[in-house]
Order: sequence, then structure tokens, then C-alpha cells
Amino acid sequence: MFEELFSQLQSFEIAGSTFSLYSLIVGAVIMLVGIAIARIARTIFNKYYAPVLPEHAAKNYGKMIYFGIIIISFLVFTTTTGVDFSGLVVAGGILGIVIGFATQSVVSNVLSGIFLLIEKPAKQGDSVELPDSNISGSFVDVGTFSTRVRKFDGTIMRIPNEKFFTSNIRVLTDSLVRRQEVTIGIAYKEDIDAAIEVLKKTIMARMSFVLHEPEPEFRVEELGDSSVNISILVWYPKQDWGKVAPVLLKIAKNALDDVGIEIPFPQRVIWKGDRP
Amino acid sequence: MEASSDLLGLDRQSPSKEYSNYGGYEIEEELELFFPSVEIRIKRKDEGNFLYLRKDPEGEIAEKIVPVSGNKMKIEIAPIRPLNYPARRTNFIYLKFDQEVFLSKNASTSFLVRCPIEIGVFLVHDSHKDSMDWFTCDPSKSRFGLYGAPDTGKLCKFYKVPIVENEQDSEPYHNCVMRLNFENLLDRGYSVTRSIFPITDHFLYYKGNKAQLDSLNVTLRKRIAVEYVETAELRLKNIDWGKSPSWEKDTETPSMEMGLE
Repeated sequence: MFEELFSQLQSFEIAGSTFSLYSLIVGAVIMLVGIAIARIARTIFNKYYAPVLPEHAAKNYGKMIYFGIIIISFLVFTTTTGVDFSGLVVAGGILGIVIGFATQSVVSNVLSGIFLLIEKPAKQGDSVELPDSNISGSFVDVGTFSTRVRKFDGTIMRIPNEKFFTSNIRVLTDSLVRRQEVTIGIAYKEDIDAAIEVLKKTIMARMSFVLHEPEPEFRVEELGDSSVNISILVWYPKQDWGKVAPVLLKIAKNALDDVGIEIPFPQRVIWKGDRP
Repeated sequence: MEASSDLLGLDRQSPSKEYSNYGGYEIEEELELFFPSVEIRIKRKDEGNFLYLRKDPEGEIAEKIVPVSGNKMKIEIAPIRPLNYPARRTNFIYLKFDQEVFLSKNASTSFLVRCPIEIGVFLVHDSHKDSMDWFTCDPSKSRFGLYGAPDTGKLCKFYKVPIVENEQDSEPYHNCVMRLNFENLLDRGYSVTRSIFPITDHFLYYKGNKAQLDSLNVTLRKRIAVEYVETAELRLKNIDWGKSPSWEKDTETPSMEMGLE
């Protein structure tokens, strides 16, 4: 009865396809139900399955489930209501080209986003650095148009997918371990071997995240203007930058101070000639 | 207000330093346990609640309130696998021997090494043993090492260990003894200096203050041109030692709801 009532209502035509109020209402209901199912499915997935998956995989699967159901709903909508979009496609062809040129960067960002999802240059939570843009932080996710990086100061940096895709990306946490290097200077009068022995013992005893295999390495880097400069190279688990890098130099200095090895100030010896 | 540690006497010098054994303990009112550089005190706080305090080698004090269902609190102190300090990062352990063992072609040998441990405190209730706390008496020796390349290798807990004579040679509270069985099926002699394996496949056993770990079978083989090592854990059988409950810190942070962690 309702079908007859609605079919009597005025039909209208767009790009060769005939629409009626009835078909639009049915379509709207199908799409609304589809969106509701997609949201429920994504919620169930996020609640029960995502916690046991890696964070980046969980987010991608969540998106796939959500948009997959919406696409299926749209296909159901077109087939059940008999809407033929071929006319729209033909009519929209020229318009599409015009829009395409106008939205080139938008399309480029979408495609770059797809390529980033395929290539996966970094996983969610990885520490990344874009040296060209002077951006470093924790990789958050790849969105439709942009990639988000949480900088180490807590702010979120939105980078267009195209720029991220074409940038040099340094992933800081892809390897199991990382190396930290600092340089410390000792006075020329000091015994280099004794200083290295003190530094090695202290670092290995007091820095629990510094790897003992490979052992810390010490190199006499330079006979500088005021000091003999020693490079200290230590390896540590990739997650533990904060427990090694910021304190390494402090521990090295304290170790030398404790045994009385001098860390000299910059100094210059001036020879004064006899006045005529 | 008096600090809890002082209230329970953790800041005072203990009159005796006789160390406690591994095993089960029942607490009605108060219990003191002593380990090298670590002290534990458990005291009834009120009806149904006990207060647990531990002072570690760095002087830090861990404090917990433990609700119990009955009149008594039951705990078990047991050695656990050394994977938690300073942070849980791996399942692998890297034992570097203090002496080299040379295996000639088709030779096999078996020897014992010391393997470090941590100590777990388990709350026993309704036949469950829940990990309540853990500690190490030797934090300065608990370090990491890398086996292989930085991108493809294995991050391991790293220890330099001595080869010992018999199963009783463990240093109480610091390490256990494990047997390594080596077989060389290569067509050449081979020097063994280290052993790297996932220790999560192994169980610990204790008696008094001594501990043992399941054995490890290591076979050196060659397939076509590739030389490789096959390892398999071997359960200890026919021993009257108690089996330790197993526990390691999770590597992944559990998902949070309503800020509960």
C-alpha cells in the first residue's frame, strides 16, 4: 500500500536515471542501516579483537571493516533501488576532469596515503624523523589526506600524505638497538687509558640499559685545542633512549670528577715577547 | 605522620641477617623475610588487609595493600626467570661462559653453568598463585646484550657465567644451576663460548635456598652447506625440588578502560 502511494509521487530524472521518493527513502534506510552495522562491527572489533593485535594493524583492520561494510551497503542500495550510475559517470566525465585538475593535490594525498598503507614505512608508535622538514616524533597514523606525527613535545603535527610519502623518513625504532655517542675531553696531562677504564667501569655499573654485548666503545677522537677528546659509544634497547642518552654525559663527567681526572676549560697559552 | 617503612621497621638495622628460604609462608600477624640487600615485611593492617613492604638494594621501598579473604595470608617465595629487571624487553637469555669448551667432530659433552635468577613473591589463594611482587638481589649484574646484527639479531638478557661442578653449586638468591648438553654433528671441531636461547620455555625448581633450571640440549648440525644450531629444553625429572610458579612482566601494555592499568 505504501509502495503504491510512494510510486504515485512524482519521479524525477538525474543524468538519465529515474529516481522516486520511494527509492530514495529505501536507499537512505539501507545506507543508515549499513553505517550502523559498520559502526557496531568496528566497535566490537576495537573492543574484543584490536587489543590483542599490534596497534597499527588494529587501526588499519578497523578502517577496512568500517569502509568495507559501507561500500557493500552502497552496492546493495544501487542494486535494490535499480539506480544506474552509468549515466552519471558519462555525464560527470568532463566535470570529473575539471574537478580532477582542481583537486590534484587532494587526489595525490589520497593516493600517497594508499601507497603509505601498502609500503608501511613505519608502524604506529615508532619514533620517526623527517630530516628535510626538521620534524621528529612518534608516528600516529595515516589518514585519508594526511599523516599525523606526535612530536616529542606532545603536539600533533599533520603532514600531507604526499609530502610524507616523498620525504626521507628516518625510523629510529626499527632496529632492536640504537647507539648513542657523546664526546668528553680530558686534560693533556691525564692518562688516557686510566680515564677510559674509569668511564667504562662506571657506565657498565651504573647504566642498566647500556648493552654489555657489544661493550661500550671508546675512541680518542681528537687532540683538541684544550683537551684530548674521547668519544663514548654505547648501545641500548631501542625503547630506552630516555634512560641512556640524556644521562650518559652526566655520568661520564661525574665518573671523571670522582677520580680527579681534569676536564679542562678551553684555554690558550700566550707567549709574550720582550719589548724593544 | 610516620612513614610506613619506619612504622614497619624497614629503616632500622635488622638484628640478624640469616636469609630466608624459598617456599611457602603463612602470615597471621607479621612476617619478616631477609634476602641479600632486600628486606620484606608483611604486617596485618586491619581485618582482611595486609600491608606489604619491600626495601630493594637501591633503598627504594615498594608498598602494597593486599586484601585477603581468610584470616591468614599465604605467600610463596620462589626463583623466577631473570627477564624483568631493569625492564622486560626480551624472552631470550645470552650466557657467555667463562671458559671455552672445545667439541671435536661427533663429540658430545654435558656441563653445568650458573644462570642468574630473580625472585618472585606469589600470593597463594584458592590454589592460585598470583604474582604479587618480584625483585633481584643482584641488579648490577642484570644487563642486556645483542646477539647478531642490530636489525636482525636478538636482544637478550646478558650474563657472564662460570661453569660449575654440581647441581648444588648455585649461589643462593643470585643464580641457579642449569645443565647444558652439547652434541657436535658437524664435520669439524667447534669451540663453544656462549649459549643463546628463549628461557621462557624453561621452568625453575627450588629447595631451601638453592635453585635449578630445566636443562638445554644443543645440537650442532650441518644441512647441505649450512651449519646451524638446534636447541631444545629438557625437563628436570625425578627431583624432589619444588617447581617455581612462572611469571614475567607483560611486554605489551594492556588496553586501558576508564584509566585502569
